[in-house]
Amino acid sequence: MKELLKRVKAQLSQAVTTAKGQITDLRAEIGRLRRELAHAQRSPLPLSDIEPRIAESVRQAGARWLAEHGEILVRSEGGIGTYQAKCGGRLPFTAAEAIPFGALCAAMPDQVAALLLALYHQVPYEPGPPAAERPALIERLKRELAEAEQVEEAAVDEAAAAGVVIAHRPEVVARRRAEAAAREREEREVADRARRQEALDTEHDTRLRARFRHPEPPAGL
Amino acid sequence: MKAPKLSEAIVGLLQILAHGAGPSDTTACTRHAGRALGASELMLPVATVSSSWIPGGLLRLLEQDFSPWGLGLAVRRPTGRGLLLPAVGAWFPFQRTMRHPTKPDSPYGKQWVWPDQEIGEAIARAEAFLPTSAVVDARGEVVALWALAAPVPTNHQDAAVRRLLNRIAARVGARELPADARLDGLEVWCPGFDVRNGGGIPAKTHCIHLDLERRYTLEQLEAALAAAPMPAPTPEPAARATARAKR
Repeated sequence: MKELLKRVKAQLSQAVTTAKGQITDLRAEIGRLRRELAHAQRSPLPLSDIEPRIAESVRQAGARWLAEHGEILVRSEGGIGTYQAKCGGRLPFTAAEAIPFGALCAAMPDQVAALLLALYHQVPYEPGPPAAERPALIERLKRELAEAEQVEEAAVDEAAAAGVVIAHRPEVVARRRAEAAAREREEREVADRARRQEALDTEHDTRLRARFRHPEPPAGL
Repeated sequence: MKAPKLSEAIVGLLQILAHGAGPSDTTACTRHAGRALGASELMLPVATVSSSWIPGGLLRLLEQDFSPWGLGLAVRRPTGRGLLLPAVGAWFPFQRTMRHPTKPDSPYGKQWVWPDQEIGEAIARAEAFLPTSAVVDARGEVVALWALAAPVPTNHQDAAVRRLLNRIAARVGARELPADARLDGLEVWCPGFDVRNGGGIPAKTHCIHLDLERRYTLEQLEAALAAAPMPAPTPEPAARATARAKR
């Protein structure tokens, strides 16, 4: 008999350990999926994606600078583009002044893009997946994460039903608490509304009962 | 006829008045006395009036405000889309008269009373025309409503709708619409509030009858209008005529 009891105890202990182990595995899987999702959402792009972006940004910056300042180059008072300029005309920038980045982008876009790309090449970083692959990847990871969280929550509930108490994840506890509070608030509101309507009905009925009742209409009508 | 409870009456009236309207449409609720400070118009989105509860804003008014409030007959649609007419109605005006409360012809014991007999007869005339969907008694004005099976898209000055309402009014002996009346100004008195023109202890507007199942098509209304004319309204009682002459 003692042997049987020991065996049952060992089996129960093993079952509890297995259940806890499986839930721990599920939680590890949830953690992994969350990390992957964060990486897919926030990690920097690979250089192959950055290169065309640099070229496009340089082109836009140059075009913007030209649209804002281009005309001054040729029309400024006493500037090099005027007909009667003194001393051969004034340059757009003084000797001690740095050339604006927009002017460089407009004048030498390829060189500026190459400069920037060379800078990026020298920065060590771990790139994430290419931009084109990210939407599908993020969607898949979100789906898998939601599924894993659901399975884990159900597993913890099942374990609790079987007598193995394992605490839910903090976010599950918070969500369930919020849901319960919302449900309770709604029930309270309904009860309050019902009570207020009932009070109005009663008062109205009391007021009307003291009043004249409409006579039955004449038979001819 | 069994009068519905106040909450049932308000919810039922709102359901009649919001029938067929979209979620972005609104039913207007307007105050008709400057006695209290505060809002004089409450816009009830149709989405909130379709539940089985009195809308929260209106419930607060019923608890706190005693001015007469009216519910707009026509549903207001978003700008540029006009109105939606979910029901047609007839408005019977009444004034208090000086006479004996229970014996109209008695020369003694006169006091200012509402003409209950005439009010009852007006309701009977409306019922004889077509069984009503709702009747609201605000003492100074009784409103009979016939809900439409499909709400009619209209606008503020729709001549055809005005003509229809005036024909119904002529048929049942009710008041015709004023020449300058706008269709968005037509109202059904909201049950539960004090009546207009009340003196002494104010009486409450109340719904005498409500039947949400009764809905009529325009053809049915036309057929009823085309039927044999109604008998002439009961002549004015002598006591009432005397009171009027004295005034």
